[in-house]
Amino acid sequence: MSGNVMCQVLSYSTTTWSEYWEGANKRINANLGSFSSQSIMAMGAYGITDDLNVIYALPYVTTGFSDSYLTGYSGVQDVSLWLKYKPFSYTTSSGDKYSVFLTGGVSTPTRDYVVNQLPLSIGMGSSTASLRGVLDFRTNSGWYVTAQAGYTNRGSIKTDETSYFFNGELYYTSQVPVPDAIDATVRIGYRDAKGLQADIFLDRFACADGDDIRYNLMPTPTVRMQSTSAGIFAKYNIGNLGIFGNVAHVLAGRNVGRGTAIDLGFSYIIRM
Amino acid sequence: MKSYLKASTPHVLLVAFLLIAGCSTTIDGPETAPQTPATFDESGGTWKTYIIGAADEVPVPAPDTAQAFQAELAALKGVNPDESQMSTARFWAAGGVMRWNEIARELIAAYNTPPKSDAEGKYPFPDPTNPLKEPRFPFANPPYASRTFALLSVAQYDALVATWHYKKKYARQAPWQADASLRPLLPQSSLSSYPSEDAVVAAASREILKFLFPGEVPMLTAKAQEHKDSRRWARMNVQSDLDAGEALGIAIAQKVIDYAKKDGMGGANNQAAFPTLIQDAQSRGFTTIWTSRETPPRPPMLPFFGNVKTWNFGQAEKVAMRTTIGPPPKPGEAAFEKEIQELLDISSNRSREMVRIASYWADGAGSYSPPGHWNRKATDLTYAARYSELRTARTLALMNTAVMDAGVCCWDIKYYYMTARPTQINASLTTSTGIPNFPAYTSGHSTFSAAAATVLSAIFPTEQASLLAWAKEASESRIYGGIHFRADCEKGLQHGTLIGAYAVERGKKDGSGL
Repeated sequence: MSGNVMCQVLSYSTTTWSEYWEGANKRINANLGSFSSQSIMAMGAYGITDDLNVIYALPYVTTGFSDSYLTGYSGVQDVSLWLKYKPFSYTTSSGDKYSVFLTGGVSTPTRDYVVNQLPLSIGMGSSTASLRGVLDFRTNSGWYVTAQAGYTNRGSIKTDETSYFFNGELYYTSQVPVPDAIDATVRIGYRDAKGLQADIFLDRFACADGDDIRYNLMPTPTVRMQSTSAGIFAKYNIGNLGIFGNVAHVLAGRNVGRGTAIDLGFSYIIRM
Repeated sequence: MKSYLKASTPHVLLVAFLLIAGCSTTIDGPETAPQTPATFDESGGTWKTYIIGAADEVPVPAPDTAQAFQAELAALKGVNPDESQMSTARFWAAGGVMRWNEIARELIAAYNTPPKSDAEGKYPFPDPTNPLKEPRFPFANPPYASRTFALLSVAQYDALVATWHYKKKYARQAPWQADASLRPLLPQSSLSSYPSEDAVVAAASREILKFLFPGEVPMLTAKAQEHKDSRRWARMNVQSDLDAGEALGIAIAQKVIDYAKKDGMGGANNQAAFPTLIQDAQSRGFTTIWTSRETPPRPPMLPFFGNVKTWNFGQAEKVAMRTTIGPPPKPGEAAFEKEIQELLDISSNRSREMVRIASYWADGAGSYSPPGHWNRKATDLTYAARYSELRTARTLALMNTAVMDAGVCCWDIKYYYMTARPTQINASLTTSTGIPNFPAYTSGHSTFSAAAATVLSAIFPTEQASLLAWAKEASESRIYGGIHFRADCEKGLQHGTLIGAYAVERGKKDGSGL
C-alpha cells in the first residue's frame, strides 16, 4: 500500500464443521453435533512509506456446539500487529510487475480467556511472533499469482488445569507448550481495471510438532493440527470502498474440523 | 558487507520478535532431589498391616555375611556409573513409593478414556484379554483409579512393614558400613540394607500394576528393573539385598492380588442387573430416574461398584452412613427448586473464576482423575515433610483406602437414589465441564476429596486449613461446572468426612504412634 494511505477493514467470518479428524481418523461426534464459530474483526493497514506498511487486527469471537450441553465462549481474542516491507519490486517494459514482501508480526491475547477447551476456546491463548515471505507477480493485463509462506512461533500458555498429558507422559504444570505453525498459500487471480478482483487459492497449515487428539477425547493445546484448504476470494471496489467475500473448505486434515469458512467484509481507503 | 546485513535481516527480525513475544516452547517439570528422611522409623516392622497377618508371614532367608557377601561388596566397589545412570539413581532416590505412585497416575491418565460408540450405537466394553485394542483395557475411570491407588499403596505398605521387620531381624550391615572403602553415591540410611526397600517397592508395585494394567507389562518390567539397577549403580545395595527384596515384594503383592480378585470388582459392571437398581430406587419413592446424557445413551459407569469390599469398615457402617446422609431433595420440593435456580443463575452468568475452578478440579476423561489429584497433593506433603519410604507408604495407604471407601460408598448412594443430573431436569442448563455418566447424588469429587482431606489433615495438622479448603473448592467446582446440585456436593463432603474418619481411627491404632 502506498505511503500515507490507510485502509480500514471490518469483516464477519463464520466457520462450521460436523466432521473432524481425531488424529488421522475422520469422525463425527453425536454428543457435540456441529461446531460453529463466528467472528467480527477490525483490521487496518497504514502506509508509513510506499514500501513499509503497518497492519493491525482485533477479532471478537463466539463459539459453540449444536448438540452439547458444553457452554461456548465469546470475547475479544488476540490483538495482532505486523510490519510489511517491500524490499524489492521490478516492473518490466511491458508493464508486468514482480514484487517481494516480508512481514513480521506479533500477537497476544487481550484477556485471560479459557484456553484449554478447544475447539470451544476462542483462541489458543498463545503470544506469537511470525515471519512471512510473499512473492507476487502481476501481468499488465490483470492476472496475478501470489505465493506466501510463514512461520509462527507460538509461546507456551497457562491453563486452568495443573497437569497435562502429552505424547504418553504426564506433566505436572499449568504451562503447556503450543506447537509452532507453518502455513503457505498460493493464489491465482485476475483484477480488472474497473475494480473487480477474484482469485482461487490453496492453503496449507501445519504445526511443526505436537501430538494427536487422544482416543475419544477433546483436543488439547499441544495437538498437531494440519489442514489443506481450497477457496475462492472476490472483491469489488467502488471508489474508496471495497466489498469482499471469501469461501474456503478444508479438503484434508489432521486434528482439525472439516470446516467451511465464509468471510464477508468491507474495506475503506482513506488518503491522507 | 552490505549484502551480508541484508541477508541476515530475517534472522535479526526473528530474534527481535521472539524477544518481544517472550516465547518459550520448552517446559521443564519440577525436579525432585534425592530424599534423606527426617527419621527412618526403625521400629516400623511392628506396624499393623492390611493384608498380611504378620510382618513375617512371608519368610525371607537370613542373608550371607561371610564369603558371598564379601564377593558382592567387591563387585559393588567396581561399579562406576555414568552420568545417565546417576541421574536415574537420583530420580528413584527421591522416593520409590512416590515414583511408583506417579507411574500409577500416568497410567490412569493414559487409560482414562471412555469407549467410543460403534456403528450400531453400542459401546464396546474393553477386553482384558486384548488390553491394547481400542477401547483399551482398563477404562481407568475414577472408581477404577481409587482401587488402583488403594491396592498399590496397601501392597507397598505391607511389603515395607515386612521389609522393616527383616531389616531389624537380620541387621546385615549396609555395604558402606561393611566396607569403609566403599563410597555410596546417594544419601546413606541408618537401616540395614537387607532386604532392599527399593527392590521390595519396585517388585510389589510392578506386580500390582501389571494386574491392573495388563497391557503395560513390558513398560512396568523395565521400570522395576531400572529402579533396582539404580541401587547398584549408586553402590547402595548388593545383589542379594535386591534379590531378597524382589522375592518379598512379589510374594506380598500376590497376596494383595488374591484379595483384589475377591473384592467384588468383578461384578461392578453388571449392566444386566441395572434395571433392578432402577426398580429399587423407584420403590423408595425416587421416580425421576437418571438417564445417560450421551448420544447414544451410554451404559452407566460401574453400577455395582457400591458393592465392592471396603477397607476401613464393613457393610453395617456403610449402610449406617448412608442413613446419616439421607435422601436428596426431590423435584417439586422447595429445596430442589432453589438448587435448580442456583444452577440456572450460574449457567446464564458463569464467571471466568467459576470456569477456572471447575477446570482446575475437573480431573475428567484423559486425566489422572480426582484420586490422582489427591495422591499428587499427598506425595507433595510426604516429600516436603521428608518422610521415610515406610511412612510415605503408610500415609498413602491410609488415604487411598479411605478414597476407595469413598468411591464405594458414594457409588452405593448414587445407585440407591438414582437421581438425575441437572441437565436432565432442565435441558437449557449449560456446563463448562463434561457430564459424568452416572447418577448425581452424591458428588464423587466431594466424597473423594473430603475423605482424602480428612486423612491428610490428621497426618499433617498444620495443613488442615488448606486441605479442607481444597476439598470444599473441589466440591463446589462441580456446581460451578453445572453438573451437580448443591445438595450432591454438601452431602458428599459430609459423607467423605465420615468415611475418612475411619481411616484416621485405624491410623491411630496401627502401632506407629503417629
